[in-house]
Amino acid sequence: MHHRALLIVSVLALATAIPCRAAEDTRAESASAKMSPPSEQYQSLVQEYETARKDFSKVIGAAKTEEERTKAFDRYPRPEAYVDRFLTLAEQHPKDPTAFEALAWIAVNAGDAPEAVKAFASLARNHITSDKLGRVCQSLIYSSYEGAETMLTTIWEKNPHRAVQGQAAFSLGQYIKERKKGAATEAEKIFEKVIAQFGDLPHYRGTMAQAAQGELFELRNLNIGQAAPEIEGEDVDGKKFKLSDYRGQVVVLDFWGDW
Amino acid sequence: MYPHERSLVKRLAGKPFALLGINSDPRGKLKQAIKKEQMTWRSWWDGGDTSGPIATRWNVHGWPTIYVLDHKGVIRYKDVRGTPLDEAVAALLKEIKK
Repeated sequence: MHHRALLIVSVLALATAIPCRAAEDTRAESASAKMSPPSEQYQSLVQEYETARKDFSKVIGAAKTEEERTKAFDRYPRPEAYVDRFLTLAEQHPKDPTAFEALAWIAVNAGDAPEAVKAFASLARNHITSDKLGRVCQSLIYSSYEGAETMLTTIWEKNPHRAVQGQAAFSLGQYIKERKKGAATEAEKIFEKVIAQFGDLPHYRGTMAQAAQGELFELRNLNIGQAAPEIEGEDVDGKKFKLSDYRGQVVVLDFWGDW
Repeated sequence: MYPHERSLVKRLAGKPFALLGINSDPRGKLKQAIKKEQMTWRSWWDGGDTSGPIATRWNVHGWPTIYVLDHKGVIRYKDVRGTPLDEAVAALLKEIKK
């Protein structure tokens, strides 16, 4: 009875075309999700995932013992579990901009899961020229999508937006560095092109040129069998020390953060 | 990570071995962590965020990242954790004795 009442409310909202009214009812509407526009279905799926994440953070934060913590992890909302529904949404409305959003959600949140392969394939087929494809490029690096390397090359060549091209080129370099054995020279060439063509674009470590220089430094100087570069700095109390002080000892370098 | 590091450092006390951290936390948070986790090993404080000078030079984008160096300062292993890390260190300590 209750459900039928909700259905009538939402049908009325749609029939009278009052979008804000429909938006207000989004939460109560999941029973009649098929009735709402694709963008709203997308929003309510995202909302559902975000709520599950917040609930999980609360439970894990409140856990006091190791046992409680282990138990709390049962409630971790695996993004992979949402892939099917985002995919269905994209497949039902291939012409709607929401299709791209749904596929990109999968790529960004569950890109390394096997379930994401279909989403990458669909993005490669239908959205290769999108101006929003930049954020998808990075998620291809560790994906299990077989066409990842080809897709990054195609985006670099065919996407008309320079920022997206830059993301694709940088990600292609990282893909080759991380995933292809013995292809260090190939990766170096790509990072050199990134510096020449996209060096001025922003990156979270300054510019793409700076980030690509970092990649080149690693490819050229941080391989097994090479002498470790010197590290000089201060400890938390401001006391200076350097890596070479420890010559003669086996050293484990641990880049860490308390998070 | 911490319990394993603690036991590694304790077990190898007196041996030619050092665990050295490069930490990307704000100074106060690092101080707290050292106290709370009873860290007896040293860490460089890398400027308070993940884009510090050492992490940037070493092109570190994921944490934790591990490098194991032999007694001559040569990189011998990357990204080993748990038992493989213990075994890597043991193998390199053996090389010194030869």
